[in-house]
Amino acid sequence: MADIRNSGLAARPFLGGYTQDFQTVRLTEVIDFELVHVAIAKDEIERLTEKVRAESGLDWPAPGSFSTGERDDDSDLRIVWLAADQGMIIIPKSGESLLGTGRTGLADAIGDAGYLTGQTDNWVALRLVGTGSVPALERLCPLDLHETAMPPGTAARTIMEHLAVIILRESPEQFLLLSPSSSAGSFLHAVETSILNTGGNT
Amino acid sequence: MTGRFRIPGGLVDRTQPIGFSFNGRELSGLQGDTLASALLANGQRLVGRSFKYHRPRGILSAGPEEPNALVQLHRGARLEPNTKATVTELFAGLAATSQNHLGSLDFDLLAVNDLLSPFLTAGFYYKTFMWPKSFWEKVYEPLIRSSAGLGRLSGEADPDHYDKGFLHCDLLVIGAGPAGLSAALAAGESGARVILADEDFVMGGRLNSETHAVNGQPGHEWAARTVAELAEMETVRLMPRTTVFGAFDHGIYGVLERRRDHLPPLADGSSDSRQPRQILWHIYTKRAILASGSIERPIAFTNNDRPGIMLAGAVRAYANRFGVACGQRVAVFTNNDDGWRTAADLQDKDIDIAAVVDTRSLPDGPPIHLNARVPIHAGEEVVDTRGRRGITKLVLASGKRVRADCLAVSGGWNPSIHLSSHHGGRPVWNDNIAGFVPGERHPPNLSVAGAAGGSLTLGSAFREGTAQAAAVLDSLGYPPSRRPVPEASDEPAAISAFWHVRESRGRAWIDFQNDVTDKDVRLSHREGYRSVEHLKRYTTLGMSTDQGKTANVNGLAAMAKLSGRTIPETGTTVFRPPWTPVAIAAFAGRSRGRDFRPVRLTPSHRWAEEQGAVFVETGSWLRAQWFPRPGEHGWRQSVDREVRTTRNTAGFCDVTTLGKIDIKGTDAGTFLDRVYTGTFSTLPIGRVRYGLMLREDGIAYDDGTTARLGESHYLMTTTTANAVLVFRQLEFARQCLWPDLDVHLVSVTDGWAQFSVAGPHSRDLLRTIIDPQHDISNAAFPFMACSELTVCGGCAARLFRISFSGELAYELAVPARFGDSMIRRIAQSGLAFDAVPYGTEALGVMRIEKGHASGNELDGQTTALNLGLSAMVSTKKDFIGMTLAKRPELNRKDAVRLMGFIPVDRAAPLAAGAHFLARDADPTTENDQGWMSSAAHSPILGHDIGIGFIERGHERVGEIVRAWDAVRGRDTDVEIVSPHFLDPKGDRLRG
Repeated sequence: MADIRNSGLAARPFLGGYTQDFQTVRLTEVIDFELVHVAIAKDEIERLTEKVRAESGLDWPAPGSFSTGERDDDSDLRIVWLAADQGMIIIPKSGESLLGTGRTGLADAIGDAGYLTGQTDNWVALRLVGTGSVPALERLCPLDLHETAMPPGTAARTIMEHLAVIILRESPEQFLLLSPSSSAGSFLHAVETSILNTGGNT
Repeated sequence: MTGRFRIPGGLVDRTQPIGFSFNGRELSGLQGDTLASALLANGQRLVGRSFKYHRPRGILSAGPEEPNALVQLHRGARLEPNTKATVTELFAGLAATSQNHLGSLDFDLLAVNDLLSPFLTAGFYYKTFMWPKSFWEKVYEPLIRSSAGLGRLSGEADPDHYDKGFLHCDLLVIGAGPAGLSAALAAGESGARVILADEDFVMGGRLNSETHAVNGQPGHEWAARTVAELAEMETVRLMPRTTVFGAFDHGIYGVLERRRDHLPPLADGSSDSRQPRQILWHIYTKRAILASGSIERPIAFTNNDRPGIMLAGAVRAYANRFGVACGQRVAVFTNNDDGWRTAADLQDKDIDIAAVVDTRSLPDGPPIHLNARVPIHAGEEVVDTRGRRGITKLVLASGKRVRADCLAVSGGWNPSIHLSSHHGGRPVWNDNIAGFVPGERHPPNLSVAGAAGGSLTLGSAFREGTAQAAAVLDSLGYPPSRRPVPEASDEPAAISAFWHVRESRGRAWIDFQNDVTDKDVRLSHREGYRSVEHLKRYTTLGMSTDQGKTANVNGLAAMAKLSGRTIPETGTTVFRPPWTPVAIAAFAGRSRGRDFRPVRLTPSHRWAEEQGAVFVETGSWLRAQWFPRPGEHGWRQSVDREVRTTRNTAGFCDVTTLGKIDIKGTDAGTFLDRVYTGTFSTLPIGRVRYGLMLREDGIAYDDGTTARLGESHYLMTTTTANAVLVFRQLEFARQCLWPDLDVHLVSVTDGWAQFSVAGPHSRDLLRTIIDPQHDISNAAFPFMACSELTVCGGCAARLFRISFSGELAYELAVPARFGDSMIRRIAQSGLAFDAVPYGTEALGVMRIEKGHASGNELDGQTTALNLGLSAMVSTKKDFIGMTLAKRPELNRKDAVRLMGFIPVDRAAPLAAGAHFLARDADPTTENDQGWMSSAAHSPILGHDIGIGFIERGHERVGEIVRAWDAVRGRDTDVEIVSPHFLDPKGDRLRG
C-alpha cells in the first residue's frame, strides 16, 4: 500500500471494483458515480422539480420509475423516484472528490426547495447485464420481472436476501442494483449465488 | 430383461434400461418408470412393513397418496427416509431400502406386534404405560421413542444445495391433467401469462394412465402434443416435477420444484455440484385454477392390507402407462363403474381376470362388457383375503374363494380438494360421487375444474378446464380463446356408496400408514370420542406422511355408521399446507451456515483482520472485540491493556455501527423536541446534546447524541442495536403523527466511517490528521462541540467531541469508502502517542467505569427515573411518552435506581444477572430488590465493578447488600456506590 501520510486518504470501493463474466451475465460493481438523496421541502414539489429540470435537464420521475438523460453525455444520469417527497440522483463520473452534495451547483440551484444528502457511501451498486439476468433475479427479487410489469425505466425498492435493495431496470436485460454498503459482501454473494444457481458458471 | 411382469405397451422407453437396487438386490427398470413400477415389474410385491403391527405391505397406489411403499433413498449423508416409491422417478444407480423392520424385510422380528394386536389398539399406551410411575421416563418413554417413526435420518448435514425464488403470473394452473391442460391451452393462446405446474415428471395426468381417446387420438398422445404446443407459447411456463403444496394469502402459492431428484447424486466438487436439488418458489398469482384430479379410495374388509391388494386405478395405470402387470391373475372389487375399466383394460392386455366383484346388484347388467369367461359376482363382497407376504386368494361373502395374486379395489374417487380448503374453507358432501367437493369458501381467485371439483368424467374435465380459463381471461381483460373444447366420450361414472364390508370379522384397515383399523374407530367411538378431530388424535387416523389421503373419508364413513348419522353430519375433513411433505432443507433454501443472514462489516474490518482482531456479532455487524498481541494469554490481558493504554495515552475504536440519521427541514428542531425528552430546537449550531427517547408507554427506548450541523440540519446517533427500530419509529412519527412538519429523515449509518479517538493524547493525535486550518483546541472546540471539516489534505470529515469512555475523546467521521485508509492513518499517527486500537470489550469496560447506560440498562423495563436521567426530562413541552411516564407506578418513591456496586471482598467476581437482597434475606421474589445489569473487571481500580438497579439506591450509598447469582452459584456481598467509578466530575472529558 502506498504511503498515505503524504498522499491523503485513498478510497476503497466496497467490493474492490469487482467485475466478473459468467456464462450468460456480466456482474460489475459500479464505482464511478455519486448518489444524492433529494428530499422535497413541504409543498415545494413543483418548484423543486422545475429547478432540478433546469439544472439537470431531466424530468422528475413518475412513481415507480427513474428518468434519464437522452444525450450521450448524460445517458447515465438518473433521477430515481423513491417516495412521494423523495428521490435519488445518480450522477456519473464525479470521481472521489466529494462526498455527497453532488454536482457543483445542484445545492445552490435547489436552494430551499429541497434538502440534499450525500448517499454515495451508503450504497454499493451492482450492474447485472445479460440474458441470464432475469433468471438470476427470479431467485432473489420478489418483484414481478416480466417486462409488462417492470419495463425498462422502472425503479423499485424491495428486499433481497433480507437486504434493502433499489432495483433499476435500465434495459430488458440490464439492471442496476443498489444495496447498503456495509453488507456489500453479503449482497454480492447473494447475487453471485443466484447466477451460479441458474447455471451461470464463470 | 427388465422384469418378468413387464407387458407390452406403455410410455416407458424399452431401449433405455436403468439399473437400480432395492435392499441391495440389483434390478433393472426402464426410462419412464417410477421406483414403484420398476419394483412391480420385477415382481417385488413386498416393499415395507406397517407402522405398528409390522404387517407386510406392498404398493397400493400410483401417486402421492401412497401410504405403504415408503422407502429410504440414497446412502450416507444423502439418506432420505419416507420417500414414496410411487412418485420416485427411476434413475441409474438409484439405491432404495425398505424401512421399519427389525431384521430383514421378509422376516421382521417386530412382526410379533401383529400377534399382540389385541393389546396394541388405539390409545393403548395411554392405558398401558401408567404404572409403575418410575418406569415412565427410564423404560416406557425410551421404548416408545425407539419404536416410533418410520425411516431414519442420516444425522449428517445435507450436502445438497437448495434455493428459493419468486414467480408471477396471471394464471397458475395446478395439475396438468385433462382439465389443467385444456385450461392452460385456452389461457396461453389468449396471451395470458400462465404457469402450469404438475408434480409428475410426465404431464397429462390420468390421460397417461387411461385408454380414452381425445379428438380421435389416444389420450396420452393428445397430452404430449398439447404439452409441446404449450412449451412453444412465450407466455406459458411449464413446471413438471413441481408440487403446489400450499395456498397462502394474497394469491401466493407455495411451490416445490424438484430439479435434481430424478438424477443421480452429483459428486461433491463436480462442476454441477452446486446446482440446487430443489427450489421453493413463491408464485404470485392473479388467478389460479385447481385441476388436481382425484384420488381413489379403498374399501375396508378383513385383511385388506396384504401386498397385491391395490387401488384399481393404480393397477390400470401400471398396465397402461408403465407396461407392468401387477399380477398374473387379477381380481377386481368395486362399488362403481370405474372399477370395471380396470378389468377391461387388463383384459385387453391379455391379463387373466380372476373375477369382478361388484357390491351393486347390477340389474341392467355390467356397465362395461367383458369377455364372457370372466366370472362376475354382482351384489357380492370380498370379506377376507389369504396370503402371508402377498394375496393368494380372496373370500367372498357367499363363502366362495377366488384365487388371485392381485386384487384391484375401487371404492370410488375422492376429489383432491386440499388446496381449496387451505384458507379454512369447509368442503361439502356430494351424493352423486359419494365424496367431498370444495365448498363455497375457496382461497380468493381460485377456481376448481375437473375431477378436483367432483366432475369425474373426461369430457367434463375438458369442458370445465376450458370454461374456467375463459372466466379467468374475461376477468383479466384478455380476449377469449377460440380453441374448441377437446372431444372425449363421457365414460360411465355411476357409484353406489359402499365403504365397509359388514360381514368382515377380522381387522379391516382404514388407514394403512398408521395401522388404524375399523376396530380402532369402533373403540374410539365406544370411549366417547364423537368429534372427527378427536377420532384423529386418538387413533392417529389421517396423520403421518400421507395425511390420510386414502383414509380420511373411509374413517368418516365408519364413524358415521357407528353414530347413525350421515357423513356430512358426522363432520368434514379439512386440510392445511403442505399437500405433500416438503423437506426442511427446501424451506431453508440457501439460508444455512454462513449464508443464514447477511453480515455487515465495518469500514475498518479488513485492517482489524490484519491486526488479528477477535470479532463478535452485534446484530448483523461483525465488530472487533479485542486485539490480542503476542505474549498475551486470554482476552482479559488484551482488554486490560487496551483500557489502561487508552486511559493513560490514547486509544481508537471503530464506532461506525451506531445508527446515524440525517434530519433535515425547517421543522427538524420541532420534530426532535417531540421525540426526545429534552429540547433540541435550542441547540446551537456546532454543538452536540445527549438525548433520551421514550416509548409511548414512558419506558426508555433509546439514547444517543444529536449534533446540529446547520440551521435546518441535525445528525442523530442511535445505539447499534436500535438503529433500524429508531429510524422506523421516527419515520412513522414523521409520516403519520406529524405530516404537517417540514422534516426529512435519511439513514447515513453506512455512509460514514466513524472512529472514536479517546485518551489524554487524543487531541494531539488528531492534530496530526485534521487539516491545520481547523482549530480543535479546548477553547475553540470544547466538550460537546461538533464541526464539518477536512482531514488528510482535503478529505471532508465530521468531528464530534463526545465521550463514551469518560476520557478526553472525539469521534471522527469520514465517508465510508475512506474508512479503511482512515483507520490505517490513525494507527500510524497513533504510534507516536502509544495509541492502541480497542474493541467492544474495552469499550464496555470503560463505559461501565464511567457509569454510562447501554443496552443492558435500556432493556425495555427501565424509565428515565430508574436510569438517573430525570433531569433530562423536560416538563415544559410534549413529547412521545410524556403522558404515560407520569403514571404513579413508574414514579414510586422506592423505584429502582441505577447505581454502582463493588465487592466487599475485592477479589470476588461480579456478573450481570445477579439479584440484590438484604444481607439477612432469603432469596425469594418478595425479597428481590433489584438486579445487576452490567459488570466488568476494572483494570484501573483493580477489581470487579458492576452497575445495576436497586430500590432507592440513591439513598443507600455505602450499604452492603447481597448480589445473589443462582445461575453461577455465587452469593457476594457488595457495597452500593455511585455508578460513576471514574472521574465523577468529568474533568477528564472536559480537559
